[in-house]
Parts: sequence; structure tokens; C-alpha cells
Amino acid sequence: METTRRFGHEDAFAAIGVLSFLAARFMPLLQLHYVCPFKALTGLPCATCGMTHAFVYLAHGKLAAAARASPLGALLAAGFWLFAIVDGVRLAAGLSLPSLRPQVARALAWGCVAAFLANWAFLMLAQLA
Amino acid sequence: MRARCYRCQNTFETDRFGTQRCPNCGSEIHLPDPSAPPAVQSEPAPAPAPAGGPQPESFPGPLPGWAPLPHGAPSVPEQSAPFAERAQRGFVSSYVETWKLAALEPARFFRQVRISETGSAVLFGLIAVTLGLWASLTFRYLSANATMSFVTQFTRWMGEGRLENGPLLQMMRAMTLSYFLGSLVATPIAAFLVIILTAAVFHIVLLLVRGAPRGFESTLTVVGYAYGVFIVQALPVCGGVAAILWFAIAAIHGISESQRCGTAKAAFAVLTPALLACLCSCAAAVLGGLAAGVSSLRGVGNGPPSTGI
Repeated sequence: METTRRFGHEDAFAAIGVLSFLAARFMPLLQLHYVCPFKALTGLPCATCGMTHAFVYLAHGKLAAAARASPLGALLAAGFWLFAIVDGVRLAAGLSLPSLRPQVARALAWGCVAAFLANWAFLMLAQLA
Repeated sequence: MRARCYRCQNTFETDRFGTQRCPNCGSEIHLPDPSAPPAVQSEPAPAPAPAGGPQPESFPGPLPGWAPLPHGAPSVPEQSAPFAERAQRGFVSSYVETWKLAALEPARFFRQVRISETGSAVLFGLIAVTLGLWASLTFRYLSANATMSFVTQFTRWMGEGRLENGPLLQMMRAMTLSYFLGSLVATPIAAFLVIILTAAVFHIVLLLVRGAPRGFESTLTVVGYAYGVFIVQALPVCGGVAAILWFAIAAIHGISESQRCGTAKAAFAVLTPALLACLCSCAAAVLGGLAAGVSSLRGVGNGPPSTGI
């Protein structure tokens, strides 16, 4: 496998993952009294409602609470942080990440859309229930 | 000999110089004869060819740099942005030259710019966003008292109770010195996050419409350099709106040319997230808060409600 020490954009995403963990773990994010404009207008949650809660709960090890707040948020946080760890190991070992084939990248993009819609449906149903 | 098409970037074999069609994409390209005498003596001398980075070694003739091309001249192959050569050209002059190209000639710049130098692109955007936000924050801090006074007078003029000015006054009171200094420190980190995440969102939408044949590096390069226009945020009052509109235009042109995906797909990629922000107002608020100098952190501290001088 090709070896590299270059700091690329994948490392930038890993850095964002680390920052998001530090913010969720150590900053008083849930003390912000933010009202979602979409929810205030329609009474229904927006597609990203609960994501901050999910990040914070997961950073404190409350897996079930994170999934209840926003399944996509919990998945995103877990994925981000896992990627940060993998990338850290990769950098330490001097390896390069395998590049995604265009078909795989496109399938992942559609997966993102599907996960986004499923998460919104979950939040709507949870609100109505 | 082997030549590279400036449009599809594929190489092909040819046995002659001059105008011909790329066998891969059909684009008309021109291979200048290196043994021919210089064609245009009256044109300004082109900028020196970039020093670093790999060049298409078989492309005949010297690279023309970023000097304006004569009317009807064929396009040139990829080359480094002036800012990517800041070590040779000087930091400020290369920044200004790149800014002019990205902001004023986005189509030409993004068609020719090398996409493998994403670090320079992100640094370019980060500097512009940071400087613009610092100026904007300073203006808001210094004018907080005047704004509060104006809002109070305006509310009184409208009639007590007819206009809810509480949130705006609360926002102005939150502009404490500690908040101001904290925002100045956090702004570069926020700018970095916003640039990377914007590129990621644009790229996901491009993937959906098969508009990203040249990969994430291309999208990140465009977004990084296009964020250079955010330096106009330094203009009071209208700077933020002007920056957003100018960015959208530069990004649409840039993605269209850099990804070779067409204007429709590029516009879809740039404008869809803006529309989607209405449905994702929480995420939009976080990104918007970051872009506005971490104002989403306002109200966490319990400092005295002082304002600017």
C-alpha cells in the first residue's frame, strides 16, 4: 500500500470529528436556549432537530438517549469519531486511505439522502406519538 | 507524441501540432508547435510558468501563466493558482492576484486551476473569511451602543408595545468585550469548519446528479477560492448579503468549470443546500452561527450586559 504523510482533506474531516467530540463533551451546548424556527412555525421538528442533543448524549456515553434525540445525529457522531480514530491510526502508520470508486461514492450519497429522510420521518412520528 | 486534453484531462496520441479534436470528448484543442516563431509579439508578456508541481510533461510549448489570453486563443492546461506559489511570488501579491481571478474571472480561473493543491485553496478562503468576520465583528462591537439607542428610539416612535425589540436589544447587550474577544479567537476555526462542510455538502449533491467526475478535491478547491469573496463582509451593513450572493455566483461558475459538469448541475449543487436550510433550520443555525462569528454561543456566559464603547 502506498505510504504518505501528507495532511489531506480526509485529515481535515478527522480534525472536525475531534473538534465536534471536544465541543460535545466539554462545552455547555445544551444550555443554549435555541428555538428551531421551523418547529416554531409549523409545530413539527425540522430534519436536523435533536442533532446537538445526540452529539452531546453520545459524547457522554448515553447511547439510547442519543438515538432517541436523533438517530441520524447519533450515527453521524459515531461515524465522525470513528473516522477520526481510524485516520489518526492511518497517519501514525503512514498509510493512505483507499479511494472510493465513483459508483460507491454515489451510492453513499444516496444513502445519505435516505438516512436524512428516514431520520426526519422518525422525528415526525416521535413528535406525533 | 502524447497530448492532454484541457477539457477532459485525458491523454491521447497524436502525430501533428495545430488545431484538432480530442478523441475522448470531442473538444477542439490547439497544440502549438514549439518550433514555430512566436505568433503574437504585441501582447503583454505572459507570467512565468509555475515552478512547482507536476506538469503535463508532453504538452508542447511553455505554459502561459495567468495573463489574459488573446481573444479566440485556445485554453491552456491546468496550472497552479498564484496563491499556491506564494513562496515565489510573495504572499500579499499572490493573494491579491488570486482574489482577482477567483472573484472577477471565476470561469477562466476555475477551468485552469490545478485541483490537487487544496491546502492553498482552504488557506485562501480561511484568510478571507477570517478577515471579513473580524472587521464585521469589530464594527458590530463598536456600534452596539448606537444600534441599541436607535432601536429604542424607533420602538418609542412606533408606539410602546407595538414592536417587540427584546431579542434585538438582548443581542446587542450580549456584545460584551469577552464575547467580542472570544469570537475573534474562534473565527479562524469556525471559518475552517464552514469551508470544509460547505464543500462536503456541495459534493454530496454533485454526486447525486453525477456532477463530480473530478472528485472532492475539485469541489474543495472551488469552495476554498470562492470563499475569498467573503472578505467583502468587512463592508458594514450590506457586506454579508453581498458576500453570500457573490459567493453563490463564483461557486456556480467555478464548480461548472472545474468539475466540467455544466452550469445546471453546478447551480443545483450550490442552491439546493440553501433551500434545504429551510428544512434543516437547526443545522443551518449552527453553520450560520459559525459563519457569523460563533454567535450561537451567545448567552452562555453570565457577564455584565455591557456593550461597545
